Amino acid sequence: MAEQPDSPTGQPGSTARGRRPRLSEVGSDPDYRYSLANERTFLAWIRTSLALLAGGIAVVQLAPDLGPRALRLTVGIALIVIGGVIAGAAHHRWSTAERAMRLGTSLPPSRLSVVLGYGLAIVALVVLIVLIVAEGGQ
Amino acid sequence: MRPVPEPVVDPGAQAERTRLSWNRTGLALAVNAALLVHTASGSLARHLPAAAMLLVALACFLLADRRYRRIVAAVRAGRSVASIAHVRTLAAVAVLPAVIALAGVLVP
Repeated sequence: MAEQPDSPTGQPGSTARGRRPRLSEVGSDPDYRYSLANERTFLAWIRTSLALLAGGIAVVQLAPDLGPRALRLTVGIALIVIGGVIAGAAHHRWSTAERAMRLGTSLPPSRLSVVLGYGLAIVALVVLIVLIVAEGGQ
Repeated sequence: MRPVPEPVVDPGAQAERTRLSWNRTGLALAVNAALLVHTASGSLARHLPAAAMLLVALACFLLADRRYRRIVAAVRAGRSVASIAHVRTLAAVAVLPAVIALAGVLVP
């Protein structure tokens, strides 16, 4: 997540020293509505992360009938790790979007939705298989 | 004489929507804290992570209120509304629940 994507405009946010200037020093203030929308998107990602954490804890601790403990632990840890990655990357997404808005460049693509989408798809598949196997064994 | 109505500073209610968003995030943190209390068994030390998360939830609510007033004042004065400090603080703290949850799941 830390590498900078190559920008066709030659990375307008970087200085000669290679150190990125502070957010408030680049460009100009965007419309306050955009800044606040960006902030709310950040908060929405944090809430998504918290929901995944709650799901992960619940699968391991509150659903003993779902399947063997090893499998529940795998699903729970997967959910919590996805949640942790999203929480960790949410600030980077916020700050790159804010920087792009201040400089008037296009918003950089975010890989957060990829992590969430494919991550949850894999978890759903595993849970589905666990349920089918558990029902078939009875 | 009718009083002159004050001009609407924030017609899209962006400041209020942002405050509610902070409040929802605080609620989500509180729910996670409740879940941790529910699953934590035994000693008082095992309830400490939940207590820490509850404090963060409370901070979210207090920050939401203060941030709302700051945003309205900034919009009225035409200043920047972006608050790196708020976002950075929550970002740093938001990874904490993941670590707590992972520890809670892995440590029997």
